[in-house]
Amino acid sequence: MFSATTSQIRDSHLVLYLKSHPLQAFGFAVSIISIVMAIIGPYIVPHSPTLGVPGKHLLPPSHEYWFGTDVNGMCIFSRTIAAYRTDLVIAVVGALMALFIGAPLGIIAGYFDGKSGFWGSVSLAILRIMDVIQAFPVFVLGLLLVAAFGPSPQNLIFMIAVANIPGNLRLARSEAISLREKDFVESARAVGNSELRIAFHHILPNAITPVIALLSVVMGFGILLTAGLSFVGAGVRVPTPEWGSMIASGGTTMITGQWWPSFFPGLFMALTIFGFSMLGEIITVLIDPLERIKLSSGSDT
Amino acid sequence: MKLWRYLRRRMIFIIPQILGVTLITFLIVRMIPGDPARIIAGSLVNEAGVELIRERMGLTEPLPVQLLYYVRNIFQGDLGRSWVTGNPVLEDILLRLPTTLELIILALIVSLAIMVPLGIRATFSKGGALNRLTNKLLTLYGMAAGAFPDFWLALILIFVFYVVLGWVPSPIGAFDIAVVPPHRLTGFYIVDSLLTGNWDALKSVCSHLILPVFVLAFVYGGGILKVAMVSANEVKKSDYISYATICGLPEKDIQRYISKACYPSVATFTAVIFGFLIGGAVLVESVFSWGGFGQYAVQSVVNSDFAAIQGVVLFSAILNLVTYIFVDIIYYMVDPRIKNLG
Repeated sequence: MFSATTSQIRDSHLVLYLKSHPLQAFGFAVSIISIVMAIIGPYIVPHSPTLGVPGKHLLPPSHEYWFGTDVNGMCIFSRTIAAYRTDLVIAVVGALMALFIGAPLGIIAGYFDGKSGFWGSVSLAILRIMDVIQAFPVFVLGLLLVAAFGPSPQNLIFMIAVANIPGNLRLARSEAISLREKDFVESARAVGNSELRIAFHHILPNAITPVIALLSVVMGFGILLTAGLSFVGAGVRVPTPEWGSMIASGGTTMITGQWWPSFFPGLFMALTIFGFSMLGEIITVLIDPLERIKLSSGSDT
Repeated sequence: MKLWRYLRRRMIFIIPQILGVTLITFLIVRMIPGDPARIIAGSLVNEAGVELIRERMGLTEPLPVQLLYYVRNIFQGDLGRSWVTGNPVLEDILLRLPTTLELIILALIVSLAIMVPLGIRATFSKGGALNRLTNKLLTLYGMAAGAFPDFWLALILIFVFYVVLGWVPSPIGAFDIAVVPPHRLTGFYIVDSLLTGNWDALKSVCSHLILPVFVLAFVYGGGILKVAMVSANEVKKSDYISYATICGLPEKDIQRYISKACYPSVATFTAVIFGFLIGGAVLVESVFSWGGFGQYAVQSVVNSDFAAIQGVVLFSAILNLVTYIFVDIIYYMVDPRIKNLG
C-alpha cells in the first residue's frame, strides 16, 4: 500500500471530501502552500528580506517591488514571503511541544482520575497545576513570560507551548477517561500489563487522534499570539521578517496614507490562519470513521 | 439560599487557584532580568544607596520571606508602586480598567445581540436561494472571522474610514482634542458623560468607539455565531424539541426553547473571550491609543516595571476567575438541573 495508483487517490476520502467542500479545499491548498513557503520561501524572494535600500523607503507597489517598500526601504513582498518561516516555525514547534507534553500528562490525569495511591495524586496534582495556568489570561501570560525570559523566538515557542498545554491535556484526559472503561483495557489488565503500560501502550494510541486534530488550530492561534506580541514590541524584532512586527511598522504610516506596509503581511497572515483552521476541520472529519463511510457511499454530510 | 451553597462549593476550587497564581507570578517576576532597586535609584545613586533601597524593599530577605511580605501586602490592598507613573499600582490599574472594560463589554454586547439570534434563526431557515445564500455567508463568516488579526483589521478600517472616507474622527484616544472629557465618576466614559450631562463628550466618545468596537465585535463575533449555530443544531435534534414540534407548538415558542438551551454554551464561550480580551484587547487599544489596562500591561513589560507587571498579571488572573464564577451563576439561573443538585 505504499504506492497509490491514480484511481486510489481519486477515490480517497480526502479528495472526495474536498470536492464537495470548496471552502475546506481552499483552506487545504493554502496550508500546503504555507508549509512549502516556510521551507523554500527565503530562497525564492526577489530582494533581501532583511536589508533595506537607502532612499527607497515607502515606495508604493510597483513592477519592481510588488508590495512596495517599508519605512526602512525593505521589500515588503520578500519580507512577507520570508516571514512564513519565522511565524510557522514558532507556531509549529510551540504547538508540537504543547502536544508532546500535554497529551501524555493528559493520559495520566485521565487514566488515574479519581483513583487512590501515587498515580491518583499525580493525576490530581496535574489538574490543579493546569487550573492555575488557565487562570491567567493567555495574552497576559505571554507578556509575563516574554518579560521574564526575553523576546527571542525560542521564548515565544516556550510561551505558545505553555499557553496551549492545558487545552491539549484536557482533551487527552477526557478521551482517556472514556477509554479506560472499554473492554480492551480490561483484557490488557487481565493478561498482566502494568497500569502505566496500559496507559501509554493501549490508551494513548487510541486517545491521540483528536489531540492531533487540535494541532492545526493551536498552530493558527500560535501565529496570532506571536504576531500580537511582536506587534506591541514584545516579540520578534525588526529586521527579522515577521508578520506582526511588519504590521506594526506599517501602523504609523497607515494614517498618512501608505497602506501597503501593513496590508500585505496581515492579509497573508489571515489567509494562513484560515488555512490551518480549515485543515483542522478536515482532519477532524476524516478521522471519524462514520464520516468516512458517509463519504465513500456518496451521501452528503 | 441554594445559590450561596453552590457558590461556596465553587470557592473551594478558586482559592487554591488564586494562591497558585500569586506564587507563580511572584516567582516569574523575580526571574525578570535587572535589579529593581537599581532601576528605581537611577544611575546617579551610589552602591550604598542602592543597598538601602534594596533593604527597604525587602529584597535582601530570603525568597520565602519576601513571598510572605508580598501576600500580606496584597491582603492590605497594596500591590506596590510603579516607578514609571509613581503611583500605587492598584490605583493605576483601577484608573485604566474601566476604559478597557467599556470597550470589551460594548463589543461583546454588540456581537451577542447580533450573532445569537442570527445563529438560532439560521437553524430554522427554510429552502429558497436567498436563505441558502445567507446560511452559506454566515457559515463562511463563522469560520473565517477568527482568522483576522484584530489589530490589522483595525488599521485597515482606519485607512478606509478615516484616511480615505473621513467618516470617523482621528483614531487617537477616546475624545476629540477640543472636547473636555467628562468629570470622572465611574471611569466608564459613556456612563460618566451621561451622568454629568456632557453631551459633547458623549458624542465624541461614541464616535471614537465605533471602529474599535466594530473590530472586536467582528473578529470575536465569528466564534459566538459558530457556537450558537452548533449548539442550536444540537438542541434541535433533542427529544423534547421533536416532541414540541410534533405537538404543533408555534415555531416562535420552539425557537425560544432552543435559545434558552443555547445560553450556557454561549455564555461559557463569551467568558473565555472576555478573559482573553482583558489582556488581548491591548492590540486594538494600542492601535487606537486607547490608554487602557492592556496598554498599561505592555508599558510595564517594556519598562521592566516589576511592581506593575506583578500587579497587572495578578489582577487580570483574578478578574478572569471572577468572570468564570459569574458564568457559573448564569448557568445556575438558566439550567434547572444544577438548581436541583442540592
